[in-house]
Amino acid sequence: MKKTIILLLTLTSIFAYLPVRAQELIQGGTVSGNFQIDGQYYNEDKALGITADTMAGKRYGVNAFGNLLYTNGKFTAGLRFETYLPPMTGYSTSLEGSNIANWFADYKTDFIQLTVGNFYEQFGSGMILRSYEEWSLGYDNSLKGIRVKLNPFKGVALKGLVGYQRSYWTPYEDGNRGIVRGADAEFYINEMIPSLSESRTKVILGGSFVSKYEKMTTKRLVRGDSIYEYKLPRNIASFAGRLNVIRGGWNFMSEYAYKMNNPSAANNFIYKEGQALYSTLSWSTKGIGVMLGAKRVDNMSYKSRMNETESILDINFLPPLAKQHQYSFATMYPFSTQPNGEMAYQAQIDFKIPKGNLGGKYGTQVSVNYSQVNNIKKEQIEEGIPVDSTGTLGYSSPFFSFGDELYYSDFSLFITRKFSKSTKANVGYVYQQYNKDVLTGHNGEYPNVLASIFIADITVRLNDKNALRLENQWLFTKQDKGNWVGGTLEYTFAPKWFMSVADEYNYGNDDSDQQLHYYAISAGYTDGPTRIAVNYGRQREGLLCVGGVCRFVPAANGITITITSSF
Amino acid sequence: MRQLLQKTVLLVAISALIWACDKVDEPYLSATNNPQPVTNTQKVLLEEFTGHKCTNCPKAHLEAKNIQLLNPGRVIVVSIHAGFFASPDGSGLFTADYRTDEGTEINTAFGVESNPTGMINRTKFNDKFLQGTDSWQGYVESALAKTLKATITLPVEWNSSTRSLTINPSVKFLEEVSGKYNICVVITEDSLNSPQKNTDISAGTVPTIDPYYHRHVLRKAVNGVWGESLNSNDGIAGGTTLSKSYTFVLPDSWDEDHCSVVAYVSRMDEVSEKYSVLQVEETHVVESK
Repeated sequence: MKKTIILLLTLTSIFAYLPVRAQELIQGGTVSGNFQIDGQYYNEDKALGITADTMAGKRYGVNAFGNLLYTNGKFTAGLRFETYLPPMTGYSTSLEGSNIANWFADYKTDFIQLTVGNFYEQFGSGMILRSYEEWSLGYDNSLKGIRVKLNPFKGVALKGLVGYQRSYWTPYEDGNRGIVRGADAEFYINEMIPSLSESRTKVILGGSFVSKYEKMTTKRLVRGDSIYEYKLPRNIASFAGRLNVIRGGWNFMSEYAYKMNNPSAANNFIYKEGQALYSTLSWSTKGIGVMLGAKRVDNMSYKSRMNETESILDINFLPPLAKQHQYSFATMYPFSTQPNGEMAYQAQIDFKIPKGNLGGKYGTQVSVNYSQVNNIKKEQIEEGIPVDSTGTLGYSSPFFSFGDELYYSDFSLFITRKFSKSTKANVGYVYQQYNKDVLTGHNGEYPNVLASIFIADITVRLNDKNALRLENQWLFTKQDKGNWVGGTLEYTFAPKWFMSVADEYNYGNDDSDQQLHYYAISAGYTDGPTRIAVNYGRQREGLLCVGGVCRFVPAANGITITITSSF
Repeated sequence: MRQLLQKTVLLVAISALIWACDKVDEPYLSATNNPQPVTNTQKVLLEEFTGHKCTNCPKAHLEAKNIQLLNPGRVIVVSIHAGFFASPDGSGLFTADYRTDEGTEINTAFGVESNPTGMINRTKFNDKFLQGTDSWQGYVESALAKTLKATITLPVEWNSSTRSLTINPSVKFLEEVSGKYNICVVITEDSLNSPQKNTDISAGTVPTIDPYYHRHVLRKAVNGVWGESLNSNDGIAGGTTLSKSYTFVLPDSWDEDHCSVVAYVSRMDEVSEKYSVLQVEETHVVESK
């Protein structure tokens, strides 16, 4: 804490040398901020397997943060305070603690932007560098160091950075994680070439370079009677190039990334290079939109610590190509990104059936989506050496070939229709194939889950202030935990209050003791930027995934309070 | 000014390309000399938290064995079966129960949430006690490199007719040390045969290895889960030797040929309020006859 204050004071002094006088820093500045407090109190629940023994005295958990931001003209400074005392169940126990997690100071003109402290950054689609924070996952891989952004010419944006990543509360020490260095250049061709400035076709080119430096300890391997030492690279570089072409309603984006040999715990210490290709093509015009996407990922785990196996210290982010659902049963079997290899494609069509016999009085919105993810084809590099053998190249893989193993597929159809000024309905059907073994880190233990999900969501506005929403969901599967039925009834007294009752019933579980109701009662109050919500009930265990990055959520029973506010 | 900046950026980018990547060519492994056993030296306790339903654990067991082979006689492994992955099923393949009250207490005290995970000398490395399998080797070597502060002699008398063990551990402090110290004596049993779930083909058949020989299984703490105090006052003078004596009767179901006595001396860490291990020793029950 003391260190941080000293650092902030030092930084303020440093920035005083920039063309911002100290007095200007004080006069006319604005302070803003936002807060969130999540608290849970846990009950024993023998049906869920939660007893005093399993709770080990942990009756409550609190996760909270506050962001404070000071802005004055071209200067911005901020800090983020976090508290996990103790962390709520399902969050890493390494988060336990309370302190200033991040701080930064930033100076920005049209020509240059300088940031010191913690910052979030993304190059292109993030395939070789993305630092971000996701509160619901307890995830924060912010970089701490220095970043420079330059706009030297019209249409040219350059970035350069160096830093190390956040690893819960662990201070950076010599060798306990790598140093990340990177540079990115983006060229807006139409702005750079005056004759193209009026062109209907817009072209953006980009290129990135990232390198990780990690001090290595030796790593040895016993094979038979012999001992071998791995030749470990200290500097691991990655490159990416991207193209974005926009014309009218068309938008094409593609990025290719390449990573040098990166033996690590994530890939069983193989020496193959990593590659990824991510492309999307979309077209939209009034009343219709189409999106096509394709992706290949091959050995692209890229962490700033070679031995890291937890979901921390990721230098890059591999964007998922699977629909992110909102309804709870459709998220029961979520896709989690497989950095060691996946081939994926996705297609989505959104269109509006105009008013009329078919479209009804207000028109009807239809959304159809299909996505599929398979493994990549992996071939032995040499007879007698199994694929993925440690201390070898690992495997070879034809770039455009799909593997035979299905990881995930998702078909969904949603129809939204307004029947009258007061009544609106959203109905949906989702069919998912879920390779539970691969997506939950097992092998040969579970059959693929085939699930059909039906959703009906009706909202009736009773008057200007009162609305009633009824949501029903059904999930049918012969695998995993069998069939479910769920319902939510929500009453809103706008603009301040809401309350709801909900239940999810696992009536199809083969184990009759596990045919449980997951009930919940919730209420909330909103006053301007402040929202308070209270929930009592059972929490179903499962994976919570955001952008293909997942956190295991254990079953729980208790009260949850969430308070958010901003100023 | 802008031209200068442009040149600087270009120069930095080119330099970055040159120094920022290490291309490794085949062979990726280089042969090294086999290490020779050393005596009267620092030893390390590797406690691995495991369970027969933990699919990634066989790979961790292999790594523990590798680490022992890389450091002959200097790494003592205790496998703690505790928590969800060690729980027995009512029927089927996974009915074996290697859980112990002591193991469960250690599991809870150190907040073990997933398997496999391991602890080296009950000491924090990189600000945490529990380490992923791939980190064990490096941290074990760090722990082995520490200055030797104490040695343990561990004579064990085995009476086959009464199945009793007389254990007489003796700790010699080689230099003056501060703090409070405990000695803990535990029994482990090796080669317990029962199926093990597995996800890694290099470790055995997938999804189950059967038969599977569970190694170094913690069976009992002879003098309490955290051991017995060696000094009531703060600190111990250099050259001091402190001895204890314990007796223990091996249950009939335990195979004495596969049992070992492990003793470790540990220091109460005032910050973490956990005992970190200073030195460890192992004696096989039957070899001690």
